[in-house]
Amino acid sequence: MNNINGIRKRINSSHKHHRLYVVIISALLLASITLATLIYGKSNTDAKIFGIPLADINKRFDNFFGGLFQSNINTSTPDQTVSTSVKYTYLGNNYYECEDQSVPAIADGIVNTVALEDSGYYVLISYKNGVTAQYFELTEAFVKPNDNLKGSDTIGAYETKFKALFIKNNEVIKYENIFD
Amino acid sequence: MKTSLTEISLHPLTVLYIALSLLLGRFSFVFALFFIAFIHELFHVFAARIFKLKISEIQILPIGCYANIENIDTLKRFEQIIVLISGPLSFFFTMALITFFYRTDVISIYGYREYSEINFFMMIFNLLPIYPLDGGRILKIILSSILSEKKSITASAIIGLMVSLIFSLQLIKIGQYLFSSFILFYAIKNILNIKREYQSFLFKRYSNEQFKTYRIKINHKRLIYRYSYNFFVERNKIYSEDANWPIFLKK
Repeated sequence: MNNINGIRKRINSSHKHHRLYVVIISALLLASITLATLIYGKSNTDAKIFGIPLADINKRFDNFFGGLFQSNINTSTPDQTVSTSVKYTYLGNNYYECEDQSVPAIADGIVNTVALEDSGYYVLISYKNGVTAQYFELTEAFVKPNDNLKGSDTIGAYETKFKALFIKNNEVIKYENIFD
Repeated sequence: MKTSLTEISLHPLTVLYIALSLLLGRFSFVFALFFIAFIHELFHVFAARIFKLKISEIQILPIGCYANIENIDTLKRFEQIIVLISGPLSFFFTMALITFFYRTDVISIYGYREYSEINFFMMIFNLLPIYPLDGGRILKIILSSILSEKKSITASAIIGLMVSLIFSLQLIKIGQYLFSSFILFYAIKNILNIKREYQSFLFKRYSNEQFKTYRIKINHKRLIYRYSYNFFVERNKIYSEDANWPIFLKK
């Protein structure tokens, strides 16, 4: 009888998970909840949690974990923002021009969309300083989606002028106000 | 059930890493990393198949892939090195592939820049002399053909620790905590496991007769060289290693 009781005990205890398993599962659960919250913060810029704006947490998160997707050992400071010198000259009606016939990036950023339209290439770039820039009417685009741009890189080329829109916090802003 | 197919498993941390990359908009980095790592592993698998070795499992880890090649120790030294070095050679192939993609306008100049950077980084990382990495395995083969087994295990662990300290410091500077913690973890693990590894080496060695096929070596101390059949002289008598091997455990 002792044996049978022992077996019963074992069967019952096998339903309990190992402590390490419970810890790992709860850590993963916590991580997924955090990720979900942060994704919500990306789609909704005004969202707050415990009085702290989610966009703020997202930015810190980005700074800390951005390094995990870095492989260049030589760069000592990964998030270099480029000089705030004015690169584009405003011509009115959202049209701009540059020194030569190429369009430089204004900061570090990631290319979201590149598309060929009737008027020329359309490029959408999310800059790390929070500005999303849309470029229209480019004759050439040197970038492809998901490219990781640095401040001095060239996005594309134009003939006489190009159209651009800069968006920050869901509002269209002027080029001069980007670096404020 | 046994099948000829290799099992491919996904590490839970990999899922988290991919989720994080999607959140931060850096999936292209992770994609490039796994693409390069997978080609690297395929080269290992092809080289292993030449020598008719079996690959039991391919794991997908956040830092790349890992192919578990069965019974690689049974090969000769230079055959082992061929299997191991086929991995780092794959990076030249990937570089050619990336250049081809750039020439055919599949990726832009910035994609080319990033992918070749990742490729170079993976090559350096893979050749680090820390044990589970290819560089560490090659270093171990070289050391154990020069030094006695106990010394070679200790030396490779110490070299690994020194290199990992220098390299991980550099990685922490740029915020790459994943790769740095990986190499630090294994370097420290190797140091702590020196004694256990030596014991498991002895048990493995005397569980088959393979060491008897090696060249004979006569030592004046109780030493074991991995790639020779050791005898040692004591008080004008000669002892073979397999008749007296438990004494090596005590030492």
